[in-house]
Amino acid sequence: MAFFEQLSDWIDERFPIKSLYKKHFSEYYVPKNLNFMYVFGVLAVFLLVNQLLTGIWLAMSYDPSPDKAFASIQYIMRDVHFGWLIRYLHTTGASALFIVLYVHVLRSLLYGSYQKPRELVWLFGMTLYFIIMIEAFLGYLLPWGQMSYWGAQVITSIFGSIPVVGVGLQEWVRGDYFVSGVTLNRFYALHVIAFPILLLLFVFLHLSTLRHVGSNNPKGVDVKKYRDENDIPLDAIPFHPYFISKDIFAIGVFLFLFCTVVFFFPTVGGYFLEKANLEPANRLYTPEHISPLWYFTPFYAILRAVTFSLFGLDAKFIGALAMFSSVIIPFALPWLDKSPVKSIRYKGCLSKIFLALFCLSFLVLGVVGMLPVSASSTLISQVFALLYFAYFLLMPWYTRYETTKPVPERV
Amino acid sequence: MSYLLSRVIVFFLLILSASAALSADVVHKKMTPNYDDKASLQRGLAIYSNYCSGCHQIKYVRYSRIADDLSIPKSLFEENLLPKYARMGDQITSTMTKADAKAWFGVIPPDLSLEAGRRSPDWVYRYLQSFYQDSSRPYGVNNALSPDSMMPNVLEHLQGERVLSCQGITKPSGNKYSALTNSSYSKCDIVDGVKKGQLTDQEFKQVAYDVANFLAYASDPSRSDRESLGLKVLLFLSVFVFVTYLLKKEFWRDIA
Repeated sequence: MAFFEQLSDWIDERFPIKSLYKKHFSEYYVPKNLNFMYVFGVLAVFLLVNQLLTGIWLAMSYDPSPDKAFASIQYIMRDVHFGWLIRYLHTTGASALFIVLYVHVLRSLLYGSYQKPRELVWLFGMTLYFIIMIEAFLGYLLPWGQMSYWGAQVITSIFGSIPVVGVGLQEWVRGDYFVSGVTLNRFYALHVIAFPILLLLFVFLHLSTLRHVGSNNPKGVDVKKYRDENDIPLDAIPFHPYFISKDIFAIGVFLFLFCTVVFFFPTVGGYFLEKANLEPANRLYTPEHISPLWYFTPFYAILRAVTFSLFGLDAKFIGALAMFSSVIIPFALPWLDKSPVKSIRYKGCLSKIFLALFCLSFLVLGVVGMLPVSASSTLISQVFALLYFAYFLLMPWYTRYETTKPVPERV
Repeated sequence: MSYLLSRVIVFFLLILSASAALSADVVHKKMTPNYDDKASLQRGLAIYSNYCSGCHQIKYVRYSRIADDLSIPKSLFEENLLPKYARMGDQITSTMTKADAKAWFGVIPPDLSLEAGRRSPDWVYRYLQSFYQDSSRPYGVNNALSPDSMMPNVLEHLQGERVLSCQGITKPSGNKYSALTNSSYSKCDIVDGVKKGQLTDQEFKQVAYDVANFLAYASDPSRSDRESLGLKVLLFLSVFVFVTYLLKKEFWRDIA
């Protein structure tokens, strides 16, 4: 024991390990009323580590060339020791990360975690989500299956819809006139180097801003206001051991569900791994029905909802703008919400209705985005796209005019 | 108890077979792959080797892997199932060149490693049963599941000739149903023709099952490993969750 004390003293003289431990673990105070919705942040970190580790091991056996990419995936699945496990952890991890992130974001919407003083936490978090979307899109091309190829072809073609510079930009993004080996190589480089580094940077920013302002809580009250004689918040408890033990338990429960999928239902009936992707990419044969993986379908539905030209602009371009706005508009949330209270528990009726409609629209758009285009699917996605945007655009109005309930002083 | 259960199952099977007998269609549509049925997988491998492997490769699968997974002793496999040009660690490729394939069939016969995953085991099962006589096609047969398929019915001498019998559709020319659309196929049944094969319909159904089962295994060979490891992992995790729950409860006891 004396040895460890000596060692930590030795380190502490050169690097402030003890004060860091106090600041972030033993004397980092967290509201004691956090419910289960607050474990999804740590689950997201857990899944990012999973993606990073399994990704490194996949990269050891994967070959990013058009001739060999598809076969190297089968090599991993069949010949590499536990290759199937590594790959299923990575593919299931990607979908699970989106599930976890959607709940994590929903938690923020419910309890107003984006409001003052957590605007930067929200902005860094949304940037992270945006980066993860791109990361997932880049990674989806790598197996070089039919759906990988045509998904990338469709999404990169969106750049081509931009007036004047579009065609050139599309070529620049692909590095070729169509998605080719050049595209595959650059997507691989971006997927395994550029975006993971960016991701880690923003995880650091997201977490350090959060640690600076502290966690919100389901009641949205400021726990730092009431302190005891030692200046410790009355309604908060230290991160270690309370939240460490809670998070480990949460990770255990999550792992149980996660491993059930990995070991028994890795394709989840075509939702996590699509059947069409078991066919190698073929540039000469376009699949009848192209749709992205489930986590992009709400945005894809918004892209396809625009079927009309406006102000002489192409429908495809307006659709792309609508899709881009649907991802960008949540960034403005801290300034759209004019409510004096944070938590949905004390907000008025209108806030509850609009949030419920927003969740409904996200789900419906997600389902419609998977279906082939038809007249009714277009109409449904138009109606629900409007509801999606209404949640944000009408927020300054309904949060200001609704009557809120009084917020308690303490939790 | 098990006696009663088996009687109930037999009863339902009888009802099922009776209802199947009512419709003349000989095509069975659903199958459930069973990786534990090694005998079925071995028969499937035998049929694949004898009838399919000349044209269709399963290039992501290796001979040695199959020998391991289907519990076939290596020496026995090498003597009887390994082609002269191949070694045990090789991938299972076909000897037909792409140019020959194009010349003979017009298409390159697809690799079957992932066929059951890409479509479904059911699809393979039905496809093998859905050939019928059609003199307008180059090999004299057509396939109701995949119209104008370029594959000859290599199992015909086992299966016997089958013909298409359609209700409410008149045969346009000669004695053929040419240019049937997918929707009109649903009105048609495949029924036994005049020329019988070596096997009964029931026996042939088993052949189709074995091939579909084998290809289902070939498309997802890790499933047995996965599920047996998965069980252990879930067992560990249940203990882990229980212990961490107690730990969490212990720490949180003093929090009001």
